Formats: sequence, structure tokens, C-alpha cells
Amino acid sequence: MGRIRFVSGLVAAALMVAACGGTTGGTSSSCSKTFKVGQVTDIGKLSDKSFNFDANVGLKAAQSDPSLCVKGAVIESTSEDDYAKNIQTFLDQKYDMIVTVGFKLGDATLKAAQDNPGVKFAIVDYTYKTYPSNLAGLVFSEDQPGFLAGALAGLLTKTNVIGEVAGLESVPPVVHYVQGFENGAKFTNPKVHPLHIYQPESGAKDFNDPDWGKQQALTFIGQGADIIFGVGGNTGNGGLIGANEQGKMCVGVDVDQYLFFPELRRCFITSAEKLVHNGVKTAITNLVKGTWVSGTVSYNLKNNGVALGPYHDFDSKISASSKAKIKDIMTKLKDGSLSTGVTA
Amino acid sequence: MRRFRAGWLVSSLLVPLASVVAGFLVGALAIVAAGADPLQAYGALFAGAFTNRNAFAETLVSTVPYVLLGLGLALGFRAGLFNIGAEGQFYIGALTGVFVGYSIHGLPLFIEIPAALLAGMAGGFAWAAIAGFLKAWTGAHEVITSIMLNYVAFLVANYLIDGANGKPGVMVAPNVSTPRTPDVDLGAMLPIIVPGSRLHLGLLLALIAVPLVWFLIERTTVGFRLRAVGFNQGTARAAGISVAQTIVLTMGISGALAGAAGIVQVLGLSHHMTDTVAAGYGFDAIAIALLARSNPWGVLPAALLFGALHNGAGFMQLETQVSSDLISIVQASLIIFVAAPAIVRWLLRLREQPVETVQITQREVETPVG
Repeated sequence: MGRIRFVSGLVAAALMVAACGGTTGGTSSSCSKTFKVGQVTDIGKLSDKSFNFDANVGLKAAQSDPSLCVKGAVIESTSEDDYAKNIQTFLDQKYDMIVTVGFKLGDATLKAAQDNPGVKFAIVDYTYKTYPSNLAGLVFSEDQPGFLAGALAGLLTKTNVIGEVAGLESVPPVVHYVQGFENGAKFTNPKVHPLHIYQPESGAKDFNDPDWGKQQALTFIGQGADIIFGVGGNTGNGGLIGANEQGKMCVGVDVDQYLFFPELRRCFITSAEKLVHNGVKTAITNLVKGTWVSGTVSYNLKNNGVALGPYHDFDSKISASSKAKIKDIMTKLKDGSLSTGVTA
Repeated sequence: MRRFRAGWLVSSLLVPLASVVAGFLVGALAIVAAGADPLQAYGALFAGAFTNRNAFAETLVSTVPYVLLGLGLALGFRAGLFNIGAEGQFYIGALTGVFVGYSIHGLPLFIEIPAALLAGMAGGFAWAAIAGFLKAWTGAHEVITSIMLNYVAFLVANYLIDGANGKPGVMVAPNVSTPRTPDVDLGAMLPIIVPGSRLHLGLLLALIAVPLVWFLIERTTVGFRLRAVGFNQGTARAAGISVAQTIVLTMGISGALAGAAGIVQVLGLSHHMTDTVAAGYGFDAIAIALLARSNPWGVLPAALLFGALHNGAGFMQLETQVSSDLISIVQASLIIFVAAPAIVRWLLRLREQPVETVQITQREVETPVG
């Protein structure tokens, strides 16, 4: 009878946990209308530590802001054929706005926006030539945080050689980061010699080849580089790992990577951040406040869409005059008196 | 307590069913660990798969590639061939098929669709046959070669669509913002069979494939050879069956079905191909064939289950915010229970069943192995 007991035990356990299952969040009752906002990820899903994740941070921020009355939900796509379907799932549930993430959802998002003029759509990191009035393309000026991080690297390098381990050259944000970084470094340190490499097209390993990235970092370090900028998902992360192993400095990308990679903390001087969450939250806010903006919406230093990350452990090692220089550059980039020299 | 004696019933129905139940129970534990309510989550999974607007049609849409892929793998399993390369064969089938699909113009539908389908099946056949040749002639294990060929297939697709060294791929459509092939000709698109949904003619093709594959395995000489090779290669060889030929042919047919899944997916849904079109269908199908106990008829309910999981997961996540990845846990634990039927038998107090045998006459068995 032991086996029977085991089976019924398993069932009982499942039922028990079912009975005391979790609770779902709700919006405050003071809202006259609740705005339902859905997010559809690309196949990188929420665990990409990149824009899918960060867009969701923005959605959650909007949801927990009591002045917005937003109820958010997300669907992670498991295959390409799911994009249109997952958007439709939200439409069927009468969602007011749908946030999609990445160029892979470009076609599906445009079509859904055309077919559903009453619903607002925002797509992260993608632009169209023409937009229906219910669609916004959220893009970020990656060259600005790249320039700032490069400026810092130019001030901190002792060898005057810096390296950038990048993802695919065919993906514009990657190039914007790299060019901004190099221009920034040359701005503060005309003697600096930047080395960069873009990952060759590798199919499944696009943005996901840390071994290759690490190897490139080691090569750059062999050529004298003492700061490595990793730009390109796990490929770039491999570059950070290489820099850390060799006791060199590194620069993270997209998010404050210091927080995501505790084992690499001693190498981070900063991260070139793209605040996708701010862009998403702003777009949602625009919907709620009735100030919806369609078309390409650019996020930059001025509207808090990009940023230079904290110095963290290097804070005490960076001189006050260096910090002042960075601050000055930031101000000038913001007011437009200084350009990164990168054309989008 | 009465013990079951009907062997086939137990092994073909009870064990898989119990495995499914056990898989969902393990999934329930994961849902709780994620801080949600399993009943609510499974309720939403069910609604998303069957009862919402267009849900059942969408479930069938997801089921179509699973049926074809599952049939291909089941066929391979019957010959003792563990084809892990269905994902790659799916890609190659989609590639060759879409090439024909967008290259032909203005022909009637009953010519264009079969032409693209055959091209896709031929592509899958050829790709899988490589692993078959390597197995038959060099003894290289098909698990290794077919899985490595997956990567070659991804990269071939990537090269042809995305291009390399800054040059666009030869199959890329002009004036598209993201690399993809051109759309197939209007006449090559599979017609929608349920208006207002995405359910396309591929469903009928998949349904027709089931009895065809069953007939092939159980009622033809090729099928007999295939089963004989799967049962015992030495005996099959002794009986005068060319084992090498059978292995190549079986791998090829298995790949042709995977290729059919690839091109049906393209002709029915996206109408063009990108470099990430498959996204794991070929690997899910391994579980489907295992769950079906390599029986073509069994593939149908198993594929429906996986199609429902795939389709319902989105709505489940919307309603309960349980990640759609949960279904991977259900699928994975289900495979463990299927692959280790001893656990399920033990749970259900069932006796060991003798292995199903291939019908080979006494005379053939006694022929000395040469």
C-alpha cells in the first residue's frame, strides 16, 4: 500500500499547495478607469537581462505607480509564430496598450496596430518609415552613454589602449555604442588607441558566444588594452569575464551590469546604460495622461532615456577632476553644445 | 487489487497517461514555487488552449508541425534510429520549400503547393540522409551526427538569409527592415480552413500523414525492413535485409517528415522564412514521439497535448503571470516519466511487460549471421 500512499500523497500535496496558492495584484480602487497594458517579449524572453527584461521593469513601474491606474501583464514568446498570436491574446482581452520588444516583432506589431486603431502600440528598439497614429517606435541614443563611458575610459586608461568586444555589426544600437565609446575616449584622451571587433554572424550564437568574446578580450589585452567594453549580450559579457580574469577594467552595457555580475564587480568602472524601462514607462504615462505620441520617439540624456551607470567600487579611485569632466561632458551632451559625432 | 494483464493497453495508454498526470503534478509544484495558484494557472492554460476565442484553432495550428515532426521521429525510433536532428531538418525543409515557393509564380494552387511541399520534403530527406549515410557506412552514431547537423542547418539558413561579411544573404527579400526571405507566391500559401483564424490546410495534411506513416511502417516491405532493423540488425542482415540501405532510407523519410513540418509552417503561417523559424519544435517532437510510444496513431494525441501546452501558455502567463516557460517543466517531467516507465509501473502497481517483438518467421531467424 506504500505506493498508493505515495501517489495519493503527491495528489494531496498538489491540492494543498493549490489551495494556498499565491495572490494576484490589483490596482487601487480610486481609479476610475484601469488601463490594461500587455507586453509581448521576443524569443529572448524576460530572462535576457536586456531589453525584454528592462521593458518589463518599466511596465511594472507603471503598474506600481498609483497615479497611473495601470494593470500590466506579460507574455513570453516561445517561437516566432507566436508573436502575432500573443498580441492577439491581449487584444482579445481588451487591453488598452501593447508593448512589444525588439525588431523581430516589427512586422507583427505594425500589422496589429493597423488592424486595431483603438489600441495603442509601442515597440522597443525599432522604427518604421511611416506609422499609424496608434504606434510608437521607442529608440534610444546609445551613442551618448557610449560616449560618456568612453570619456571615462580615456581618463582611466594607463596604457592608452582600450578594447570593445561587440555583437553583430548589423544591429545599429551595437554600432552606436561602439562608435560613441571610441569618440568619447578620444575626446578626453587624444592619445588613446581604441581596438574593436564585431562578432561575425553566427546563427544561434549571435550575441550569445561568451567564449569567443572572452578570447577577443584576451587578444586586446595582449595588445596592451587595460579597459574592455563588452557590447553585445553574452558575447560582450565574455569580454567582461576576460577583462576581469586578467585584472583589467571593464565597462558594462544596457543595464548596470555591476548588479547582475557579482563575480565581476572588481572590474566594472561603469556601465553605458539604456533606460528602456523609462522609455516604456513614459509611453504608458503618455497613454494614461492623454498625451500619446506616435511615430519614432527618441530617448536620450535629456529625457532620461539613457545614462552613465554608477562607478560603484571605482568611485574612490576616480579623481574628483575626472568626475567633474564627465559631469561637464554630460551637461554639454544634454544641452546639445557637444555632439558624440555618431550619426544614427 | 487486480493487476492489469492487457499488455499493450498498459504500455500504450496507461503509462503515457499516468506520465502526463505526473508531469502536470510536478508542474504544479513549480507553479507554487513561483508563487502562483496551480489550479488557476492550469485553468488559464486550458482556457487559452481550448475555450477562448479561436483558442482551439490556434491549438491545432501549433499541433500541425508537432504531428509531422512526431511522425518522423516515431518512424526513426521504430528502426532504432534516434534522430535528434529534426530541428535542422525542419530548417532545411523550410529553406528548400520556401525557395520553390517564392520562385514560382502564377501557377494554380494545386501545382504550387505540392511543388513547395515536395521541395521541402526533399530538403529534409537529403539532410537527414547525411546522418543516415554516416551511420550506415562509418558507424558514426546518428545522435551525434544529426545533432551536429542541426548547427550546420542553422548556419546555412543564417548564411542564406542574413548573409555574411557585410553582404546580404542570397535568399533575402529586397527592402525589408529585418532579414527574411520573400513571401511565397500567393498560389503556394496554404488556404485558411477556419475563417477568422490562422488554422490552415496543413492540418489536413498532417491528419493524412498519420495513416500513411502507419501504413508505411506496418503494411509495407519498407516498413517491415525498418522494424526488423530496429529489432535486431544482425537478424535483419541475416534475413537478407540491407541494413545500410534501410538506415539511410529511414533517416531520409524521417527527415522528409520534419522537412514537411518546416515548409507547412512557412506555407501556412508566416509565408516567408527568417533564421529563427523553428525555435525548438524539433526538440519538443522527440518528447512527442516518446510519449506516443513510437506509434503513429499515438503521435496524434501527444502532438495535440503539446500543441495545447504551447498555445495555452501565453494566456496562462497573461492571467496568472506564471512564465510560459512553465510548460517546459511539464514537458520535461513528462518525458522523464515516459522514458522511465518503471517509475510509472511501480506507482500503478503494474507488472513488467515483455518488449514488443517484430514478426520475423522462424526460418529467417535461424539463418546464420553472415
